[in-house]
Amino acid sequence: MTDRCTRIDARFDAGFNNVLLMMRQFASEHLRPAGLDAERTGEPLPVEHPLFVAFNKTGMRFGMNPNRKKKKEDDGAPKEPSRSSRMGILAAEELAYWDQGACMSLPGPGLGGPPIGLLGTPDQKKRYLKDPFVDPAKPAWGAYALTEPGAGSDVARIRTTAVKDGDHWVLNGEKMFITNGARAEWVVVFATTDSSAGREAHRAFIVEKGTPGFSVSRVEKKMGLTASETAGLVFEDCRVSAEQMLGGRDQGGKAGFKVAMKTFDMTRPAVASMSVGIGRCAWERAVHVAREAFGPKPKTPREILLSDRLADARRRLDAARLLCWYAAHKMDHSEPNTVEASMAKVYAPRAALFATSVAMDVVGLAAVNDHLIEKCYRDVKIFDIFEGTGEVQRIVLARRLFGYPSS
Amino acid sequence: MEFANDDEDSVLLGAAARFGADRLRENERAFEKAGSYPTELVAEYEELGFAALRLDEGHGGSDMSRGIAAAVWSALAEADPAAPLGLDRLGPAARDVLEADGGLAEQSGAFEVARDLSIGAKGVSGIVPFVPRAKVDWLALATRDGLFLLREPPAHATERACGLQACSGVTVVLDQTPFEQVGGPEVARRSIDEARIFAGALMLGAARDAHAAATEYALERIAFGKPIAHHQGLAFQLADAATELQAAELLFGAALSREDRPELLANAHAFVGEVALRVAERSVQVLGGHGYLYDHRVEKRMRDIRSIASLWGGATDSETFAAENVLEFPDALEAST
Repeated sequence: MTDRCTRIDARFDAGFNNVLLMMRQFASEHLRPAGLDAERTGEPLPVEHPLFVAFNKTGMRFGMNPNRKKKKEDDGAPKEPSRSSRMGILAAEELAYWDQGACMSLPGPGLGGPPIGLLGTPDQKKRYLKDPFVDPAKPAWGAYALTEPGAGSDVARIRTTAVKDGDHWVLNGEKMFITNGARAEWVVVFATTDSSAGREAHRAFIVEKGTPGFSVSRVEKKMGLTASETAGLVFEDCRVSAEQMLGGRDQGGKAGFKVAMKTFDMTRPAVASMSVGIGRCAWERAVHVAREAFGPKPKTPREILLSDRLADARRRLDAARLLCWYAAHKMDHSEPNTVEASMAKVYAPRAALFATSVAMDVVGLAAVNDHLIEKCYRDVKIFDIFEGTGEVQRIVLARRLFGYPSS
Repeated sequence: MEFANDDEDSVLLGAAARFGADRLRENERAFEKAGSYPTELVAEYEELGFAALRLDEGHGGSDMSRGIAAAVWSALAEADPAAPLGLDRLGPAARDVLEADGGLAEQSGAFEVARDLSIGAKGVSGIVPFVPRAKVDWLALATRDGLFLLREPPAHATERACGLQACSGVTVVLDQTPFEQVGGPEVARRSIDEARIFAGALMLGAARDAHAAATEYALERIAFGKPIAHHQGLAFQLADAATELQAAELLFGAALSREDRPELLANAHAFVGEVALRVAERSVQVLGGHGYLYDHRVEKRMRDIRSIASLWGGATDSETFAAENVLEFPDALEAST
C-alpha cells in the first residue's frame, strides 16, 4: 500500500481556483460548441476551424515538459513544491468536461512535446517546440507515433524499422492511432534498429511533414472523440538525416523507453482526470434532468433507485478524482508516483463510464438520440484503452506491489 | 488540495501500530474465544490515550481531530478490528451524552440508530438486536428528531454473533422504556457522523490487513510452478483491491475534513463499506480453503467487517442518506473560494 495521510483536504486555494475558472470560461465558450460542430459533421475539426486561432490567442500552451528547469532559489528558504502537475490535472478535468475531443485537437506539440523536451537537442527544441508555434494566426500541431497495427501495449513488438544508410536513417513501417497525425508539422516516430532486440533497439526520430516516403494512410472513424483527428501513418523508404534522431545522436540502451515511462507517470493521472471530467459532465446533466423531473427529493421507487445510482456514481467519481490528485500531488512533491498514477488510470475510466451509463438510465431513451450524455458515454470508453489499457496498469501495479514478473 | 501527515500524527500512529502488534494481533483469537478483553488491557489502552479519542478534554478525552482519530482506529483495527470497540467503553455518542450527565463517563455506554423502534410519550419500544458490549449501562438512540438517552435498558446476552465476538454482545429489548432527550436533530446527526467515522475507520483498517494477509499468502503459495500472486487472474484481483482500498482511504479522508458536508461523509462511509466487504471476501478467496479456517485471520476480517458494516444504521443508512440528498448537490467539482 501507499503512504497514509491523516490530513486530506480536497478544497483548493485561489491559485488552483483561478486555473479552474479560466479553463471553464474558455472551454464553455469555445470547446463545447466546437465539439458539437464535429458531432454534426461526423468529422474531426478542420484545421481552419476558428477554435484553433481562438485558443492560440488565449496564450495557453499545452504540451507538458517534465524536464523544465525550475528557477533557482538562493535565499536559503525551503523550496515550495511545484504545483504544475496538480494545475495540469485540474485543467485536464475541466477541459474534458466541456469537450475532450475538441481539446485533443487543440494546436501544440501534443504528446510529442515531452520526449523532445526531455531528450531533444537545443536545436530540436527550438525548431520543433518553439518555432512552429510562434504565430497565433497559424495553428500548428506536433504528434507522437508509437503504436502500430500489431503492437499496442506490447511496445517491444514494434516493427517499424530504422536502418542506417550513411548520414541518414531509412524508416519503413506503419503507425496507427496517431492523434493529430495527418495535420502535424512533425511526428516523433519510434522505430527499431533490430526487431529481435526488444526495447534496447528502439530509437525515436522526428519526421517532418512532406518528407518523401512519409504519408497519411487514413483518418479513422471512431466511436467517440469525433472532433479529434486520429490518423494512420505510413513510412516507405522514408529517409531522415541523422540529426533527426531524437537527441541528435544514438544514445543507445533504453533511454527512449525510460523517457516514455517517466512521461507516463505524469500523463496517466492527467488522462484519468479527463475521464473524470467527461463522467462529471454526464453526471451533472443527469442530476439536472432528475431535479426537473423528481424535484429536490426522490419519491417513487424509480426515482429512489435512480437517485441511489447517481449517488453511487458520485462516490466513484469523487474517489477517482482523489486518486488523480494524489498522484499529481506526489509528482509535484518529487516523490515516486508510478503506483498512484496507475491506480488513477485503472480506476477513473471505469468510474467515469459507470457515471455516463447511469446518466443515460436517468434520462432514458431521450439520451440515446443525439444527446450530450450519449456523446459522453461514447467519448469516455477510450480512456480505459489509450495511454496504457486498464490491463497494462494492473500489470504495472502487480509488478510494483508484489513483484509480478516482467515476462 | 492537501495530502499530509505531520510528525505528531506519525508518532501517534506508530504507537497505535506497536500496541496493535504487541498486544492485540497475537491474542485476537483468545479475545474472541473469551468474548472479552482483559481488564488490564482496557486500562493500558486508556493509559496510552487511545480511549475516547474524540471526546473533549473536559470529559477525559483526547479531543483529536476526525482525521487523526480515524487513522488511529484504523491502525488498531489492522491488528484486531473488534478491539477499538471492545476497549472503548463509551461509543460514538459520548460527547453529547456526557454533556447531559458527566457521571455516565465511568459506565459502559452504547449507541444505536433507532430505525425500527417506536418512540412515544410512554417510552421506547422495540428491539436492538446486537450491541457490541457485554454490558449496557446507558444507550444513546439517534432518530431524525434528536438524540435520546436510555438508562439501564433491559438487555440480555446474544448468541454467538457473526463477528466482533471479542466484544461479547447483547440484545436490548425495550418495552415502553423511559428516555430523556439529550439533543435535537443536529446533535443526532453529529452522533451519526461520529459513528460513521468510527465504523469507516475500522472497516478500512480491517480490509487493509485482510489484503496484506492475502498478498503475503499469495506470494508464498506455489501453484503450477509459481506463486499464485504471479498468475494474472489473481494478480489483477490483488491490484484492483489495492486500488480500491487507496480510493476508499482518500475519499474517506477527504470527507473527514469537511464537517460542513455530512453527505460527503455518508457517501464515503457507504463507499468504504462496499470496498471493505469486497476486499475481505476476495481475500478469503485468495487463500482458497485455507482462508475459510480459523488458522488464518482473513476469515475473521471478513466476519468482523460484515458486522461493522451493519452497526449504527450501517452502510445502508449512509447509502440511503446519500441517495436522498444527491440531487441537492449538483456540482461535483465546486469552484471553491
